[in-house]
Amino acid sequence: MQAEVANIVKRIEEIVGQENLSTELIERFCYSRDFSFVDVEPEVMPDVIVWPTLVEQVSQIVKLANQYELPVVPRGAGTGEHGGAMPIRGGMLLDFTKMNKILEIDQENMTCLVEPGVVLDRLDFVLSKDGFFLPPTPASSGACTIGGCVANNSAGYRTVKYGSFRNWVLALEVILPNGDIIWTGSSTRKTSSGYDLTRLFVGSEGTLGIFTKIRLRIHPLPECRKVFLAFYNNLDDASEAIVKIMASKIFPSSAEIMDRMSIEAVARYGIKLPKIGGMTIIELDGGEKDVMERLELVKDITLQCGATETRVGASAEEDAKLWRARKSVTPAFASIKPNVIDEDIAVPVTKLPELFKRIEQLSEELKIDIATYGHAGDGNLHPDILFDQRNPDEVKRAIMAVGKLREITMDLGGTLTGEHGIGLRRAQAMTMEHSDKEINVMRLIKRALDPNNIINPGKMYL
Amino acid sequence: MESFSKEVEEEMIKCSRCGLCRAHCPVFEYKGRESWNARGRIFLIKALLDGKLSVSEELLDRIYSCSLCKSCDEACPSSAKVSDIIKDVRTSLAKTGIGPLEGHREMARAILTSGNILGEKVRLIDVVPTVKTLPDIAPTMLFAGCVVSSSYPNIAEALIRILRKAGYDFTVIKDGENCCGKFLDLVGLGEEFSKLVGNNWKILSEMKIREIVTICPLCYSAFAHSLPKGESFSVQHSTELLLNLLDEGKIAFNRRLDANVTYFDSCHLGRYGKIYDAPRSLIEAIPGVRLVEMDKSKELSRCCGGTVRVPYFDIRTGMSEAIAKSAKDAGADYLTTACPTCYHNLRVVAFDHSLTVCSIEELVGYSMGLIKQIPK
Repeated sequence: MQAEVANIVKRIEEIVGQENLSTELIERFCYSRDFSFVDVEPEVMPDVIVWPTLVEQVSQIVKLANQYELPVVPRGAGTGEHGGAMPIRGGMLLDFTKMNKILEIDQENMTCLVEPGVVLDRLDFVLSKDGFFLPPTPASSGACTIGGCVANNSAGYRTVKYGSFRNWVLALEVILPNGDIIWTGSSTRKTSSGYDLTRLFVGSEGTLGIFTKIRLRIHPLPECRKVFLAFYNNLDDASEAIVKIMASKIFPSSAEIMDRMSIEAVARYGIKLPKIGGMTIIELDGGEKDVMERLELVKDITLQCGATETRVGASAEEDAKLWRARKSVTPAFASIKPNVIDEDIAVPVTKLPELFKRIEQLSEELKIDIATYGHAGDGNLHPDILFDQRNPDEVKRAIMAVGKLREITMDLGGTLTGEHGIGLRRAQAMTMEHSDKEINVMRLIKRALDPNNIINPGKMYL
Repeated sequence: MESFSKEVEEEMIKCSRCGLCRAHCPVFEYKGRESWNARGRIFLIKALLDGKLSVSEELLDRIYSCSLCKSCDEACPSSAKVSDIIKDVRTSLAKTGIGPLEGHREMARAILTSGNILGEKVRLIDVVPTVKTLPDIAPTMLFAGCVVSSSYPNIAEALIRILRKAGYDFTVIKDGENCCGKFLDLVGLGEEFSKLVGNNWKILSEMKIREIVTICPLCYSAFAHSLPKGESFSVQHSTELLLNLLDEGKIAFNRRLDANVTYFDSCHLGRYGKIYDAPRSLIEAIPGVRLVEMDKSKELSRCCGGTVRVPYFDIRTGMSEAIAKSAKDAGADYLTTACPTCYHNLRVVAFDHSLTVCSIEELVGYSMGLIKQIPK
């Protein structure tokens, strides 16, 4: 096998050049990990890491891998928390860092065409110069890539109004597992032509094909954005406010919630926040007059629901600082407890108050810290289980908490993951949410496109 | 390798592996590979401690190619002090004789034998004409640093002229300074650094100096963070002193410079010294100048790669290239810096970008009519 791998590596080198490939032990070690809290024992490393620069290169090396049945794992920035980019069966890791060109910004048709390795914040910065933005804003936007976002159908704090990545991808250039290059979708803003393969590939977590070009819709920047903060003694009041705001046709661009520990984590970034049981962050965007009117409605609802203090962000700079801090909540917990399991459950919005109650009960029952925050307007919460890996008993309780959280979510009619994906970490839980027959359909699709199971194998319970 | 102090172990644990450092590590910006990023380095160090990896030439490259710029420390959501971790590893490697690298040892030998990091004893009185006019004894010592003494005496000349014009009572070590030793600290030779900086304090104390003004931010960092106990010294960077003099009306900027000027924050003045505003206030006070900011500035500014120039020339050049490109994208005509090491590295790459690199001292000296032109 090793001799065969060496032979394949030689042929890959002929395709991409020596400078775009590594078999160095320490590089392979670094690429065996990502943000997920999954350490595979014993270590499984990729045999080779490749940094392709051209579409044709990707096509040729995937074709080669298919011929030799060598696993291929595509990777953006390794900021996923479900282990989707971990090469658990070795093989070839394709790092798209070098395919990072913004190929076109078409203002008239309000679309852009990018390579998969473009970092989200960089695209947003470039778009903002022309008065546009890409609404889905995952917390990792400073480092994550568009390819990774599309592969995981990522979302973020503006999804409540604008939807997740699936709503913004118009067309994809995809390398199929046999090396064929296809285009899905259309550059038009709508299409009813054939199966919607674009929507199938978005969120497929690199298990069906590999993206090499992505055409996205873009949106004009709103005239005005306002952030409204409200503080509550407890999460019951905060979640009730969210439910009422979402039912009131106010249509916020963000509706976030935070518990006490999350508020403390954000306050560490120099933002003055009271030590209190719950907080909601509502962002409104649109015409200035309209935003100001809706802001009053939001204020009324929060006060009716028991907000003890409210305030409007003083300036765009202060709001930006708050969002930056908000995006850093999960990794910031590492300074409270060394290890964090970040969950990503979603339930119907009306079930939020009950979900919070049950998370609190679970935390007490298992004697483990669970810090909860998230995109409450979508019913999507991130209960983060905080523990210390050096304490075996705590590890046991943390793992138990994950299982129980999923049971609670299913009980409330929810989903395992709102925006992060299944990957490796949630693979075994797929049967909790999907019937055998449904999973079988997914497996049939996988086998039809990837009969040798070479593209990101071992993920998504496929 | 021996294990770390408890504090550093805690810092290691703080790394949640989120990867947000990818957005800011300037070495990663150039190399584009995970093992050259802060997160990758943490993975490797942990593997070294756990016995999963052993010391190799490649691994040492990752440890010593970190410029200790602190960008990752600033960007880290869980406030892990990655630069402290790297420094601690380098200290451990030095204690066991594995580190530092040969190039570093050569520089250390140069410092210890000549008193200058570039290996040649330099007497300021020989290279800076105005030094002859300075008194032998004064309450303030202007410490020029190795790079200015050896390669850029023009920066010291400009500053001396400005301070004399302001009537400031100061002097320099005319017969040749001894290196502050900060570089040794960065490569893990902390004890040697302590000796060198200690000797400097002794000399300054004997000269009855009460205030030190440095041109080099590394010297600033060395002195400001090693103040001898029980004695009252003050340490200032030249940009702080110049701004004070401007505020007090002791200097005035009269000559116009109609140009876009950007300022590059040196790591040791900015992230280490927390001095971001003084240089900018000086630039903005010059008539005609428009201060433009690069895409990354202040806490998140890039690094010129000066601390890894030996032995990683290519990385240094790549890192400085990124700054020059960013300055050009910001529309700058002049790329200014308050650090002689950054000044050197940026000059290496500026020509290709039609940029003029200059020091704050030169810019101020020009605006005060004390130097004829800003050297290209």
